[in-house]
Amino acid sequence: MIITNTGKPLISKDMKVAKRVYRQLSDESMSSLWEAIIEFVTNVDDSYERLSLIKKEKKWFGKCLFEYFPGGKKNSTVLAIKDQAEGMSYETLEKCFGNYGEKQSGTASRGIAGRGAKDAASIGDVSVISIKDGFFSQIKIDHLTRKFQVFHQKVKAKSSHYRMIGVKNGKNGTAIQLEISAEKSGYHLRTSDLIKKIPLHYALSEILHHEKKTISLKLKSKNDDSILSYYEPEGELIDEKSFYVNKYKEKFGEDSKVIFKLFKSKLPLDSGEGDKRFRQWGVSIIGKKAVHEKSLLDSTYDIAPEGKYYFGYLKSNLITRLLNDYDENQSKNKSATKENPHAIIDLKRVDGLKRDHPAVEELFRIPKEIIKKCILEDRNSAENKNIENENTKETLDELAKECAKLMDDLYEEDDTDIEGIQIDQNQWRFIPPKQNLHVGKRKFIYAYTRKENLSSNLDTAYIEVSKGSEDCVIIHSKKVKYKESKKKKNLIFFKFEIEGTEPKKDISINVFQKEGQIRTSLKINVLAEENRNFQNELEFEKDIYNIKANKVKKLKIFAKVPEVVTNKMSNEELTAKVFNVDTNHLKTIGQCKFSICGPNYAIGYLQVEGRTLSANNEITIQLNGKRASTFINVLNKDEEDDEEDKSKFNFQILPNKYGKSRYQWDPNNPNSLEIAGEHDQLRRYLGKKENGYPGQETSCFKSLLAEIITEAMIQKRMTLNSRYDPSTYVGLVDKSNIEDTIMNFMFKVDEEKSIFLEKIHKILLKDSILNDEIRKFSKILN
Amino acid sequence: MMKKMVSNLKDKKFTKLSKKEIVLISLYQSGGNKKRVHTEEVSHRAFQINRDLFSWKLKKFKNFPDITQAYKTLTHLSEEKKVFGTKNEDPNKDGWILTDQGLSFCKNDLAEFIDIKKNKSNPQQHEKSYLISIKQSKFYKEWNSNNEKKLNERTIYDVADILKVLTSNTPRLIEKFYETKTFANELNENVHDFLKYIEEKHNDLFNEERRKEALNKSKKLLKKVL
Repeated sequence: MIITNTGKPLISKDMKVAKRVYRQLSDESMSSLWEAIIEFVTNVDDSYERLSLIKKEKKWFGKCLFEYFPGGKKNSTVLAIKDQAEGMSYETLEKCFGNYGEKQSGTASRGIAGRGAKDAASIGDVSVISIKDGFFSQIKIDHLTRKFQVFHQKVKAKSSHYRMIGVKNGKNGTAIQLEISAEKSGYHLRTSDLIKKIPLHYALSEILHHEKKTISLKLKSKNDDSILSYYEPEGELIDEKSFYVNKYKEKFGEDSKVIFKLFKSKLPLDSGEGDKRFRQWGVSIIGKKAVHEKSLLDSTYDIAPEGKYYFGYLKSNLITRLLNDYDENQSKNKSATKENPHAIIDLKRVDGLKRDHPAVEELFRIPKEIIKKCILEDRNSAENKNIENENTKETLDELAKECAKLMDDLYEEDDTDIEGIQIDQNQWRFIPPKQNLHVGKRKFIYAYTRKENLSSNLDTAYIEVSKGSEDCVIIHSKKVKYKESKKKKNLIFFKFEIEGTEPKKDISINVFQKEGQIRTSLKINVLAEENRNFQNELEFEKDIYNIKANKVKKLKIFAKVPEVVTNKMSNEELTAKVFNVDTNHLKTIGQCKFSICGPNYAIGYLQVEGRTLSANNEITIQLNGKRASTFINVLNKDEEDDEEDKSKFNFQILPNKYGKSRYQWDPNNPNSLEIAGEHDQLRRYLGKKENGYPGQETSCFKSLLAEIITEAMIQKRMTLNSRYDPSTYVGLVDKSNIEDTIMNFMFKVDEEKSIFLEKIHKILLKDSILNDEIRKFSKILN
Repeated sequence: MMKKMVSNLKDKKFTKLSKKEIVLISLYQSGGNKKRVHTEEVSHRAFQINRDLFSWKLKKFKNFPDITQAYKTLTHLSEEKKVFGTKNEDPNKDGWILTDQGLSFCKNDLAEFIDIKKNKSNPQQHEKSYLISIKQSKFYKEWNSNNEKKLNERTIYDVADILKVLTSNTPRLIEKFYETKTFANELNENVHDFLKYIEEKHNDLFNEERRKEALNKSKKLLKKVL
């Protein structure tokens, strides 16, 4: 040693922390508005917990009001959280908001980070008002200067102060407000997003659990008030283990016990749009109270598609004890121990439990084995099933939808007969010019013209119903782009969709390209509705419905007139009773009232909201002694909303080999494309089965897939066209000149390829991913 | 050439034939044993065989073939399951083809009438070569040697492969199967038996209903199939 420190130091004092460091730490722990909300709400919960401890109660429950006023480009966004808990004296406010890094949660069992609510100042101005034992205080942390400012210090609380916080006179309470300036982009969330996502945030899932909740969080916004609750997914208990982390048992006793429960859902659970804070699958890792993360404990399990079915919790007081122990050592200037060398959680509260902490390995060892076993079992049991994983499946479904659209032109003019029709310069025509439409029915109408008749720089047109008849027809197509007619090569057409709503004769539907300039008109008679053919006197429109979680859907129900509904029935009699609703999975909104809408039927609408992912939820309604039932599946947002949205095509990669061909269309299910995963060319890119065919995530495989699907679609298109509309290929064959025939054919293939190639490649290989990859190999000099 | 053929038909033996027999002969001779034949073509052939039965009725119009006579007879034959088909304004939808039953009737009961020179039903060289290629396929050999294990592994895609049809076109696959089976019936009993085995194995695809459906080539079907 070169320098030796002997004797007593002259001065010994705490090191000053530069404001810069505080700012950096603050910014890191408040990467989005969500972190601020979590801090504010968990602080309220802590406060209610402390109150219960004083009262020596084991459980606690309190109210919390969340007021949100979204701003945006010009205005600030303001959020405020109000509670009726302990309230804070000026001293407490100063301790909590005037210091950085001090342990704050007191006797509550949450964390020790000593940061939190005040970090929100990195997003905007944080103001706090509080009443404790009749005294009111008000402070603020300025966003720009981060200075702790005092506005009221222990003044006698007035009625106006109580009103500001939202508590009755004489009671305690606190309100914290965050004001985010318009310039602070990315922090202005939509109210609907808050309503949807707050309960899903892992850190709030226990506090807001629909059965075990400790606070009732009411979100108040401009248009709506909602109580936010977390509903866990439905699933079967797969495994349950209780064990001790022996290494820590001696020191922490019963607190070293771990309880692990793993459930499996029948449906793949939501990944929170890729944001792990809101994912539905995963194991919640819970200390004494706080939820520190939600994951499958290992990043390789997190990316396994099979893992998206599993959820549960791992609960151990050891996490909280180790945190406190580390904190105590720090406060007493003791060095950290080998068993607890650093904080077990990420104090910035971004990453959850720290994998390099020795206790984490022990906590996770058994649960990880269980999860791994489940994933591998699922992977092996999928022996004869498809090769594609969830991600690839999602992309294949998107492709199937897009390809169906690209085939539309083969039949879209099918209803119109334009043979012998001539359209001159400046002429537009509906074909046919007079049409009929029944109430409740939809129909496509076609306006034809020539390309040279379009207004300059405008390739779109729109329709309007003549004045006075607006209620008789609904227009389902807004501005539409023209398409070239296949039937007559020199014509183009605009295709609009309309629906009849009220009977009326001679309604004019006018086509415009620009406002005020009618291009052509269609005369349409809307005719009275036709009789409905009932299977049952009271019946839902569909036997099964699919609803997205957190979305509302109107279910249409038909009742036979006069058997079930008559015009003499009272309002009360016309309202159906609803039974059998599993309120954990579904919520019905409003009443289901019937009114006579057609010659032999009445219609009622039942509004249903999907709450938690679940299948086959039965709903029964009763009207005038008759009953009808339907089944509802609550699905993920990234799954198909409804059968109507489903593509007519279905693409899948199967562990099959079809000789030389890389794909086959299934003759028994003609729109189902089976890609041969066992074809030598594909197998080379896909990788091993036991690893879940990892190659499917690579860009080179996606590129190959794009080429295969394009080829398959051309084959489908050309074989269909040659069979049902051979005129498309007239001119290709020149019997006297085989060379030209082959050339004509090859040109045609290229032409058809251009319809699919670009779109398919862009869906499979997103520009951003491709550009990143290109950048990696670019040899640009700095 | 046509004159010669027509004169052949004036043979007295044709005069004793019923309308149904004439229509069956006409369909066979126009190639109805292999593919669909347009109603007008059948009608014209029947008119050539017997003008009295298949012309307009007024004397001054005796030289005009009457399509309704042939059409009515085809409809009756369809009810007897001797022919498949429909008459339609759209040439893509119109057409008739002999069923197995119709074909055996032609070959057994009308044998002396159907065989004429320049008969469209006569096997062509390429058709003979095609059957030889089927006989040389591994699939056929497995069937011939009764190799059950291998046969169990064969799928509809192997059938499409030997028929040289793309699976993107199911109706054509069905159509081509029956075309092949029909001329195999005349040319090669073994191949015909092999195709009967395939028909049985894939009876969800190769059956009368699907065969009828495949006859319809209306453009409106595009919307339905897509």
